[in-house]
Amino acid sequence: MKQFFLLLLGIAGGVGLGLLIGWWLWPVTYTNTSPANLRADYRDEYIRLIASAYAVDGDLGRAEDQLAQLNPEEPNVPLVTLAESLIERGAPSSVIIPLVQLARDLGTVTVVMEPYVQGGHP
Amino acid sequence: MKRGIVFFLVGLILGTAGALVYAWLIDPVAYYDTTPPLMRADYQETWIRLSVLAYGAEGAMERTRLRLSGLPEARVRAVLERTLEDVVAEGRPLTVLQRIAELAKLYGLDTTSVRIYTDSGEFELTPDTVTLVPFTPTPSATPSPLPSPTLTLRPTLTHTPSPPTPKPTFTASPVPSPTPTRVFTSPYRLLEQSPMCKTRPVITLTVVREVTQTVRGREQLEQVGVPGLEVWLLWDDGADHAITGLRPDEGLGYADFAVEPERTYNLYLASPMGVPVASLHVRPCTGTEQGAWMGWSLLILQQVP
Repeated sequence: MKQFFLLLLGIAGGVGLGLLIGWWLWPVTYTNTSPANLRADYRDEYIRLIASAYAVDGDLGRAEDQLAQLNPEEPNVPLVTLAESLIERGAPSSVIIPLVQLARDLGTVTVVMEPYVQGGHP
Repeated sequence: MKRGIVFFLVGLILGTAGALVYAWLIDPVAYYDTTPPLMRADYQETWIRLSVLAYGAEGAMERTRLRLSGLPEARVRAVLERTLEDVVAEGRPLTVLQRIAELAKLYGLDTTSVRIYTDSGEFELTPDTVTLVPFTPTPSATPSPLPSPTLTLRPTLTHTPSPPTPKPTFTASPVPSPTPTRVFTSPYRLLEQSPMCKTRPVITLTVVREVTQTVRGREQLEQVGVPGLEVWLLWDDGADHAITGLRPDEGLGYADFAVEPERTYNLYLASPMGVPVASLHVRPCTGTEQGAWMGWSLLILQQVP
């Protein structure tokens, strides 16, 4: 009985030691993450940056690769989602147009975006 | 008692192992809600590059500072410098170049491109070439709306740090005049830019002007070489210059430079200020001419106002 108690005590101590190591002595350091792990506001900012940079360098392949870092299966989805969300929230045209232009060049313009195609204003 | 210690130690090992199996295999750490400074180095560089290009497009300084905050400053500076050289080599619009150069300057960069595109007015070349005295707009009693800056060349063999230069001042005038603005209207226009594959790459150029000649009673427009024109070639950490027409067998407006592979050069005529006439990158030749480097042959027109 005493031995069983000591075994349980050891297990409890071991779990405690493991957590002590994992959480306090040697805690997880969040490094080497990817854009897919970014907080929602930074993800949105990342998409905006991709669109603005595309407006300068015109490198569609690169822009697509960068979008794929957020959603490898459907790289255009985050872009379309953000563009539509900003349009619904009434964001300034200067913010929306680069996103719509990139979406247009990637062939994913939706009905909501139509008024902004060709740099137009709704 | 000894047996009790063994049981305790076995329990301790089992407990630790169990906790680690749970933490590492069953329910491993999920990374989410991170920020750019926590990203892997290459992703950070992408973020910085995108922020720099976006600043070139938008010009939103505060937002750019926020985007870059928390990232290692050395990395920001390195990517900024690289991005500026890239956009210069790719011939992006002047406003983009000026904005990115301004940002680079704010981050403490002081490269040739930064000096050219921030247009600080202070331009110092390598010690063994020449030192250019900062331009000073000439004030006059009745200032014209666009005072033209003058540039003085002062050759020197030793490197002397240029003294602090007073800001250009304009004398007050009873006549209301708009704020003086420096406008770059280059009198030189690049007509042709042809690649040349050679094992020792060169940049050659011919500067011509158009003249009207009457031949058998008919007026014809002809291009004639412009001799005696100073040509500047600037790169990251150096500069070179030549005079057109010193090899008359090649033409009166001809000049050339031996250049280094994998380097980007900005070419200026008359003075190394303002917007370059051409930005040229010396890259490897492909196809049948592998092993050779792509130099450039330029034809430049001097426009007569």
